Parts: sequence; C-alpha cells; structure tokens
Amino acid sequence: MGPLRIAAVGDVHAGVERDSIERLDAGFDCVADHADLLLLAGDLTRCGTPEEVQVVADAVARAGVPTAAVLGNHDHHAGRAGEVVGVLESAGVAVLEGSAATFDVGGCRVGVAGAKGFGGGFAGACVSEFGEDETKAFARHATEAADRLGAAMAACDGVDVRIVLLHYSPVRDTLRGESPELYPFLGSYLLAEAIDDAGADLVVHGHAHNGTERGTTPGGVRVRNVAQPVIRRAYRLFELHPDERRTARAAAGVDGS
Amino acid sequence: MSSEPQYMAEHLRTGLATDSRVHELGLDVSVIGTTVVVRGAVSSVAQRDAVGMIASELAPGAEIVNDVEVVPSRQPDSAEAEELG
Repeated sequence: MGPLRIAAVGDVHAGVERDSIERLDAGFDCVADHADLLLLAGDLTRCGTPEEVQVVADAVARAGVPTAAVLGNHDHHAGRAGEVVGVLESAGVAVLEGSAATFDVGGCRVGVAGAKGFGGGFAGACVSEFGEDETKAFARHATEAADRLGAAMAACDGVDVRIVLLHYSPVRDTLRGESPELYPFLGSYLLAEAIDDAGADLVVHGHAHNGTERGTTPGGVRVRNVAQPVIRRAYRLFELHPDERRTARAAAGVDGS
Repeated sequence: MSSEPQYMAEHLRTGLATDSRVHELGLDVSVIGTTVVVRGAVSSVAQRDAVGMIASELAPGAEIVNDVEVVPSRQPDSAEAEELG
C-alpha cells in the first residue's frame, strides 16, 4: 500500500465573475497529478447561490479526483443550502453533514467524517445554554454540531485511515492570528472532544482566514487550517502512510479504527 | 452614520461583510483622520475593486486606501506535501 495523498482547501469563495472562474479552474488543473482525494472545507461560495457553487462543481468535475466537501457559513447565507448540495452532488462530490464517505485508494479504506461544525468557543470561555432564547439557540447549535460530527465518525469506524473534514475549528491553535474576541464565532472545543473520543489521523478545517496552519487536539490529533487565505495556494497537500500507521497501531495494541 | 472613527470603521467593516459585491467577513478597516485604510484578502479582482467602491459610497469624501489583496492560488507541487507519517 503506497502513501495516501490528500489535497485540501477551504474558503475558495467562488463567485460568478470570469476571474473567479479562471482562478479556480487553474488552481485545480493538475490536482489529479498530486492527490488521491480532494477535500473542500466549506465556504465554497461567496453568498451560497447555486450559480456560484456551479463554478466549483465544474472545476471539481474537470479535476477528476474523488472529492468530499462540507458547507460553510457563506454557503448557507442565501438560504439555498439544499440547492447548493444538489449542484455538488450532481458533479459527484460527497457532501457531508454528520455523515461519512469511504473511499478505496489503492486498497486503503479512507473514511472522511464531515460536518460544518459551529462556534461556541473554547474551554474557559464558551457559551452555555442559559438565558435568552437566542443565546440558548446558539449554544444548542454548537452542541448539535458536535453530536453530528460524533455520528459521522462512528459511521466510518474500522477504516484504515480516518480523516475529519470541518469548516469551523475544533482547537484554538489554528486560530492564532485572529482576534481573541472572535474565537467563539470561529470554533468549538466540543468538536475536538468528539474527535478525541473516536480518534482520527488528520483533521482539516477552514473558516479562520487570519489564523495559522498547524495545531493538535488535546488528544494529540493533528489539525490543519486549510483556509485559502492561510495556505496561499490552490490547496495544501498531505501525505499519509497507512502501512506505517497500521504497524504502529498494532504495536500499541490499538485496532484498525 | 457617526463620523467618530471607531464607529465609522465598524460601520464600514459591516458594510463590506454584508454587501453582495464583497461578502468578506475578515477585512480590517482603520479610519485615520479623513483616510480609510482597508486591508485583508479576497478571492477575485472584482471583489477587491468593489471594496474600494463600497468604502467610497459609505465614507463619501474620505481618501480610500485599498490595500486588499487577491489571495494567491497557485498550485503546489508534490515536494510541498506535508509528511504526516
């Protein structure tokens, strides 16, 4: 089993103007030469219209690489998320929300557990389900988002490699560079808790344009912020070695999940 | 709209976030005297140009310094892959 090559990017914010279309097409032109899987970490569009996401769907279809995606907050802005999902699925993209997709890459079973996630903040400074209805609704959505991620991870138990795909961040680490006042709107520790409960080989997310690339969950899972303004490339490439991971797990007495 | 710099900056930032020509939440706006400086990144030339137009509409008479960049999106080569073991 050879190395597993993952391409990941979030926050491409596609628009319908020509330079946006050309930029995306050029960016994904050779992704098939570099990667076995393409992961899109939300905010595929600017306003969440079917016309904008068609630009992404066309570029991905031309790229010809198995692709999984989650939506981001921008993709919900127009209130047409169902249509956005439909356009992506028509192009063969696995759109994940509290669900998982499994890909066979050269005999390696790769599970991608995906959810948008949400804000809510991090330990010591996070919102609680208390007070006004609006505050309670915000806190409840954060809890439900983490529950959906937990369900997604359970749905791909037993794979060789498990990758988590989010839009919001599960850790503070990758938010460094953002104003601390924004942290409750950029991620939630509940997402990291769900990840550490189930275990994962890699987490990718977007959303934090002014953040930094690298972090880890408290349980030691590597987290990467692939928001395009952070990575400043068409996508970020990761290489994993499933055989080495399997051997290390066997030595540690951990099963294949 | 208040002309106090701290209010003006936030009104402009909100305007850029909610105007469909830009819809970018991560821009930084500073108001220094009669000068408005906008920094940050967007995903197209049309968006960057719209930042200047919207700032002029929301702060008529101000000098607008549009320092917003279009995010680079070149393709990486395989040598740039991060080895995760």
